[in-house]
Amino acid sequence: MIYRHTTPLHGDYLDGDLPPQQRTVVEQHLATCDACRADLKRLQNLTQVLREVNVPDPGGEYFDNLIEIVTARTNSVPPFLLSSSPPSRRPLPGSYMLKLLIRLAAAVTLLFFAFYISDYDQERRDTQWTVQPSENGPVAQKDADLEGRLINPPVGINLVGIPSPLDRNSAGAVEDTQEIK
Amino acid sequence: MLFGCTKRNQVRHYLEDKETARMTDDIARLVSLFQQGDRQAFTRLVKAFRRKVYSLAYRILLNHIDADEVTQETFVRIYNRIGQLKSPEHFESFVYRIATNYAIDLLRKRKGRVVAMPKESELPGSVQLTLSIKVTDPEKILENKQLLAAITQAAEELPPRQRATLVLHDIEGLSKEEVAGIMGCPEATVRSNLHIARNKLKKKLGKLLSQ
Repeated sequence: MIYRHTTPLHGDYLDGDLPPQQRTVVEQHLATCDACRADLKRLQNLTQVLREVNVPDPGGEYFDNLIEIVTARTNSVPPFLLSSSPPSRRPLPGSYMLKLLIRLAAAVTLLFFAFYISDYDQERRDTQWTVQPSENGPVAQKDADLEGRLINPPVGINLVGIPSPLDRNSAGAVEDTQEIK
Repeated sequence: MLFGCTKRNQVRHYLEDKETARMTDDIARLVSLFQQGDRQAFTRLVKAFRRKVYSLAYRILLNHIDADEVTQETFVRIYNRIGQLKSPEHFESFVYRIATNYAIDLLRKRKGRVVAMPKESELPGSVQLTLSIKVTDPEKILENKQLLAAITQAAEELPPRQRATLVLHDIEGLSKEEVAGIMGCPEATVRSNLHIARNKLKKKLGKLLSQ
């Protein structure tokens, strides 16, 4: 026995739009549920009454006059027949062409600079930097570019504030050995 | 006055409907002719669809003045846009779509303001809503009148798209797929609009429908 009400399915049931399985479920439920049977009956009555509501007759001459009115309102040639011929094109004036050329040139220049800047920036970012010891202290060095090619280290670029691991170790090692002695 | 209650009118409508049915086979041919610029074909198309369009518009808008406006405007729009119709076989859906969309637009415009409607006696043919069930018992006539008044009142409270969906599906007898094509929405939306509209009417007309 099915206890759940099938009210939401009644519309589709009456229209014949339910799949066979759901239809069987609704029918089984209707056999046992008075409330759902009453709801289905109301829906049936509503559909029937709606179909029986007549549209009033607007009068014998109304529809004859309608043709006259519509004919009067559509007295011109239909637009789709007019639009079949392609519209004529006026030649563009000289000043308009000049403005267009200037705008195009400006756009091309802007695009060129945009590409140039983005390419330069990308090259900078792609380069890998490492800290290497040198005689003058720690030095920032380009190891290689993205494609793995070695790049010569720039001379004299000191990274201030970063202690050199070599210096610290050498100093520390001397001090330690002295203390042990 | 019942719809076409005089015998002369009944015979006239029967003949006109018969003529319309005969013409239905030729609709696609007429549309093709009209697309080639034949104005006579357009007039025949208006003759074939004038009652359908008026009836649809009246059922959505529930008054003669607006239904008349929709009917006229629908045919003018068909005249102007027939070039957009790719396959003449779909002319009926094309007509329904134009009429329904215009009726919904008009309904939305009217919603915000009260329109002064002329008295029914001033309208052509004393326009009045009726039920087609023939009843002679005075009590039944009164019941019918009450039911009609309740239906009209309940339908007036439905939002435009729900009302149009209900009319197209439940009254005009179109399938959900056809309604979806006309309304330009998915079938699921039609199903949902229909469900909501029916439930609202069921609630409003509760006791009257149980009888």
